[in-house]
Amino acid sequence: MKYNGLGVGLGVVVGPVRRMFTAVPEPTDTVSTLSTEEETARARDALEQVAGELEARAQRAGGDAADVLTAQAMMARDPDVWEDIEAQLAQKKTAEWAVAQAFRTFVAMLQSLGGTQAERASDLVDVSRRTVAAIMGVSAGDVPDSDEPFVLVAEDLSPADTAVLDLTRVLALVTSGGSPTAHTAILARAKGLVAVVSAAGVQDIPEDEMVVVDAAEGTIECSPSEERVAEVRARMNEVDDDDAREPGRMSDGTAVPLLANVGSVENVQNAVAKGAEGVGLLRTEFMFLEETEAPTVEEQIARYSEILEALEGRKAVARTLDAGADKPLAFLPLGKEENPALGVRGIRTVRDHEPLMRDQLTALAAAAAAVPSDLWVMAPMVADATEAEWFATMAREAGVARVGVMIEVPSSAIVADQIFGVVDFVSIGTNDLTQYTLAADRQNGAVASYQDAWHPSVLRLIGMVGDAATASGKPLSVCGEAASDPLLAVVLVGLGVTSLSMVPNALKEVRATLLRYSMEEARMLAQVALATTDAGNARGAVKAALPRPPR
Amino acid sequence: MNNSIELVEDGAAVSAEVIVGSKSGLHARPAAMVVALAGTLEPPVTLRKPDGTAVNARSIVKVLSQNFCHGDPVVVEATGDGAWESVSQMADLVSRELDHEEP
Repeated sequence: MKYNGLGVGLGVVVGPVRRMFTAVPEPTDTVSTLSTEEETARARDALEQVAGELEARAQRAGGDAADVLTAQAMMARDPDVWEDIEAQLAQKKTAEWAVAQAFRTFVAMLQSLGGTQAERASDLVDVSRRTVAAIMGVSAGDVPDSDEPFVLVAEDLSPADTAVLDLTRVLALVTSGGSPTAHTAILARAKGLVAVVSAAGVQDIPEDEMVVVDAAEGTIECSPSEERVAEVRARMNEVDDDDAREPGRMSDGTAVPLLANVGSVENVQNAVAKGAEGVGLLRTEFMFLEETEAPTVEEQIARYSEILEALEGRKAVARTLDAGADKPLAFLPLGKEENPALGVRGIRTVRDHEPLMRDQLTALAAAAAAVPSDLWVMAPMVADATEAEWFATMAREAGVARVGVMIEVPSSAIVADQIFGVVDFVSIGTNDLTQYTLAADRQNGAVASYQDAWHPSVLRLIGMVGDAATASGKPLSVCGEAASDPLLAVVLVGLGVTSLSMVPNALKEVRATLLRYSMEEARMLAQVALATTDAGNARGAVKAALPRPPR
Repeated sequence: MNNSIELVEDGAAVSAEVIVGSKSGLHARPAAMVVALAGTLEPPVTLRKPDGTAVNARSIVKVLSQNFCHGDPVVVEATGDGAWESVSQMADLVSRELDHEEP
């Protein structure tokens, strides 16, 4: 038996299935046959049980996940929700109906607020579901606990599920629902997990069944032969061979340096261990986010030097402070904005706070001079060549050797030729470029399906930047999520991108995939993608046009 | 304790207007800290925007529903014996930056 879905990444694994299905029956509005006191006790006991379970999970989870779970336990014990439940019970409703109904009102209230509150609404839905399951005595479908590594099969995964998922035990994620751009796929890409989503029928695979999950093919094979299991196991074990340390290149030998996106010293060590040739995106916000006052130049020099030392002379591309109404800083009052994605973000933040930018550039240049290093510096969210030149002048005055900008706004992609005229290099931030090109807020789940860098409109913009890079002979990097998708990475190289920066876990698959194709083939695949009409078609057409399978 | 908080007495009612100090607003962790403190305060306190309806600070869903953001003014109120102490404790918590404090 073989199931088909949409693969995320290119890995292949074999392992036993652990199922997680969360079909809690919908309570119906029937008149209770029990007394109000009995129904009250059922509701109260279930809420208490759920609150206790959530608190216990919070203890085990720690970190941000613990915060979410603690807040969920408070929702189960919420006195105002309880008042609503009691009002329902007084009308002879059943406990399950009363609980579902009371939570439903509050869920709608939070959803109407949008943003962060809408996320809390899904936490509330989860509490309601758990409580109803507890009252009805059915399983709430929790994330399985298993000592041996397993293939998780589910309808779809919620952020609350994945927060407590022990990823070291998960070999692959298989979902019957979801899409390549939804939460499960994003998580899989971020963690470098094998995943197949939208695989109809997988809910029929029984617990403990051995399956082979092949993300490149988008398939789940049940009862694989012994030879097939042995072959897949061999591939799973080649993880940390010496190839993993080789510099990135195409099959014809064209070098494509593979770098890592990092935000702390610990990240740097992990990236180097996974074979990164350097850092293609150093997020410097870690210096600023927790501060109530702007850090001094001396403090900044010390922290940048620490990172450069950890890199032992490898290339590092630092992005200057990227704050905005969506990422506020205590010492930089920006005010609230109706539409932060289109507001004062990135380099726009510092246009009115030049000293902050000058201090950071001075500190970066000083750190680069103090430690044997190869430091490049770029500014985020630049809109045109005038803004790029303003930044480049300031950076060069501060002593920065290699000055660049990020292209995330479509305007700057359109005038990329002018931008290359004033800077030494460019790096494309595909997540924002996609959000702005398709006018789809990254924070808004309702338009998540638009957030796909395979879209030919995004690829055509990248192609324009690629042509400008080639004409100027200057380097062009991609440091968005797109670079961690192995096939898209090939297309990006075909469009003129000269280096790729990604989450460290993606390095291995991207390196192996680039090695399979020549520059000429990458250019051909890029043309195939540019000629399609939407993201799904682009992905499909490129897969169909591959001169040989990715592995 | 933040000494700059000004408490106003009106009969048995005590109130204070403070500014949300947490960068993430009273959303994730700070909201939970407000609710946890509210559970220990007697008399209970309510929170509202200056032009809004007062909500029970012990109810996390009500606190979340008010969408208190960083920099928003919040009116903290309580009535009865001990109202002064309840309001001053809650007003102090709301005005602090809670994102990195342990709950």
